[in-house]
Amino acid sequence: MKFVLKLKLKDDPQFVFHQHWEKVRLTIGSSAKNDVVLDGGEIKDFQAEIVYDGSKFILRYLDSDGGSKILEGAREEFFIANYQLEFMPISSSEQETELLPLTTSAGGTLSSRSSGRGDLWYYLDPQEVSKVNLKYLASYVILILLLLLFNSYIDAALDSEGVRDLLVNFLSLSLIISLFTAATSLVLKVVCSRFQYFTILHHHMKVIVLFNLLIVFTSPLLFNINSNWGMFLVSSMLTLSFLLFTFYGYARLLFPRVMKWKLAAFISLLYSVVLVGINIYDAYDYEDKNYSLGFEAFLPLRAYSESQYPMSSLSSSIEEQIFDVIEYRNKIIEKKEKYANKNERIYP
Amino acid sequence: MIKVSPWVALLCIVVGVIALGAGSALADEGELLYKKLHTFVFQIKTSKSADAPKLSYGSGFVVNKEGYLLTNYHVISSKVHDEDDNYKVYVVIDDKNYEAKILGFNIIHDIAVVKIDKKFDRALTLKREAPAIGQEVYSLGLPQDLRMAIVSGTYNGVISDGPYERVFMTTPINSGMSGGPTVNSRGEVIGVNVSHLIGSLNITFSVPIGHAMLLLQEVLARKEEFALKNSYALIGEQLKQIQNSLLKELLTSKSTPPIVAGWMLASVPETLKCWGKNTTSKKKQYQAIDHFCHLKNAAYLENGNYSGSFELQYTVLENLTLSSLQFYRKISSVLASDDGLENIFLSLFDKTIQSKYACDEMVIVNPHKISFKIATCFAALTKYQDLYKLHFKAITLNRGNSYLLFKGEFNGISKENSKRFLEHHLARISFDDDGGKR
Repeated sequence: MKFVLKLKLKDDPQFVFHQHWEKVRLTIGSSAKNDVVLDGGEIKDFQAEIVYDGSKFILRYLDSDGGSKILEGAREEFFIANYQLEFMPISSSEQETELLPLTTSAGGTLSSRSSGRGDLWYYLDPQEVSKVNLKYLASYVILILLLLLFNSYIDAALDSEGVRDLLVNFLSLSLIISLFTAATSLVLKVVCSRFQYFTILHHHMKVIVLFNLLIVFTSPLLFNINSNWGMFLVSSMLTLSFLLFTFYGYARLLFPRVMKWKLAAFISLLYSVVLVGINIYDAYDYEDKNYSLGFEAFLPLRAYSESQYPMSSLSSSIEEQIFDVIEYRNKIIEKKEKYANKNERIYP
Repeated sequence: MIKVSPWVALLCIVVGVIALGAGSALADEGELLYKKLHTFVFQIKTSKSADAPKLSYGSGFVVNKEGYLLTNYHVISSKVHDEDDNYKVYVVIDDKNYEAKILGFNIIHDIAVVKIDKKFDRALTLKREAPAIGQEVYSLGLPQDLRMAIVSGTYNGVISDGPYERVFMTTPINSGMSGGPTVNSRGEVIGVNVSHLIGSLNITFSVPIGHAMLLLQEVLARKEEFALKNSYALIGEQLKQIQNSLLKELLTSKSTPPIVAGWMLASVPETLKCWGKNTTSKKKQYQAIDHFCHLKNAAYLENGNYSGSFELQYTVLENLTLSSLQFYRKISSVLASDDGLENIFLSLFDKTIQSKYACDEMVIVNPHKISFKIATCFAALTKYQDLYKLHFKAITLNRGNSYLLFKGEFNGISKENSKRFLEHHLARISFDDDGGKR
């Protein structure tokens, strides 16, 4: 049986697709380890299986233990991160295999070369790759810079030092955020190329980064205005990346058809609204029965978010602390008495 | 040529002779006192055995023919805290080591009584009445493990620093002379050498002999033998005396309450030493007014550790030209850069001295409707019951252009006194609307 490969590329130019005439061999990424080999219908590799059910080919991935266990359901979108794959059988009597044009959603063109051994390789034009990347990269950079400019403005407006420090803040934060983003991208890229599960999120990394930017952009409203901007931004992005990474990954794994990027964006927005809501609630001044003006509500010294006690409550607080330290002291003494000999002093 | 009247010349000669005579008399006085007293002043050392190298040393002097000597507590503190009984205290007399028993001590005044198994023909005379200010006094002892020395200086009265009393003088006391006698021109002991002010020129101190006499009386009157294993309980009692005395002064002080930039504070007793400082920021945007009070002295415990100390600091941050948001940020950064209680909570500590800290934070309102965010940290002193280290920091939360930061620490305070002190001081803080707000 002969096969022709019909595929729809999305936007990962690093994939190389290698089509054999006699065997169906799908290479994903640049490593031969990802090959799936069919030889007369028998699976010879462990990444996934392609099954012809009489009307179409279904691509399914195997369990990670490398065995022959077949997982239920068609999950081709999880296995192949950036494209949909469909194999088409052709009659063995046909002399030629019709090659269907391959297109990418990124708008580039594909070229093909022959290795001279009867194989055909498809490549995405490297120049097209650059243009595709640059467009995304430029949008990321502009977003990040706008964010930093906004944050620096807030920082400087609230600070007493003026415009000169606005620029200093802006430049130093730009450096921190750029380094962080580059590091995250590199880690994700390395991880994605190794583990099947992470390929899901590699595809959606752009979305995750956008979510982060959304949260961080609203951070002056969400969190206390903190003099330590660099650490605050880095830690909040790390936390959010992790949360979104886990949430998004599991959501897509469990509900692949339901959890689209729009839904995930909505959830992120909801999260932001909830956080803002909590802070506004905290900003309510119980004494004056009103809300504080502007950012004052979010400052770390605010009394409004905490209950106020009469002076006599201090006594209970001290009692509790004393109780704790007496326990600590007793533990020290117990340990000492364990090793004491008759000559040793006993603590009162 | 300058003509000098014969009468002037004669006057000069007479004055010169008197001065020489006086100088010579002083020199003779020192010499006489040395001859009279040096046979009653000895080195006291702590070591594993008589021949072993010294762990610590100082001086002591005979106060009773039965072999009782007075010295400083800190000279024998290594033995007091020698839980494994590895060391002994010796009095070195004519190169012979006499093992000494510790019969009593007082850490407040840093004095101790020891006894050796040797009798003396006489003892030094203890004189409670102080000399007049400006009179010559002498200190004897063995400085820097050299030999017996006598040094002279001037008596300048008694200084009170909370519960601590010291004779202020200018005899150049050096290490090793601690525990030796300070005597007047008649050779009567008026004090026990105790310390010098680091970085100063000849500002030295001795313990007024009255305190030593009380301790000696107590020791002589005691019927039971003093057991070193009860030392910690005794030290604990003495530390409590220190803080009770200090608390009494803090809580009943009648001095005028200080007013700092509109903030009215609790009175500070005159026995505390206080300093103030005003700092204005570079662009005159805000100013910080600091008011710091502390006890200069503390009770020495052992091995470089002290207790019975106290510090109090008020800082008022007053806004001059910033918007309220900018001023809030300045407060936050001042608080963040301050040596926070977080550092104390996380710092390493010696378990033989104290337990780890327990901290808490809350917002309270005082009777003048001033809100404070107050953080307190306590650690128990391991060897002494019901005694703690207290660190606290409170900041007012009034909206406006003036913030008060109030912080302090007590080393060796009981639970009840902590509560009394904090409640007393916080309750008295108020803000003068007319004087303070812009």
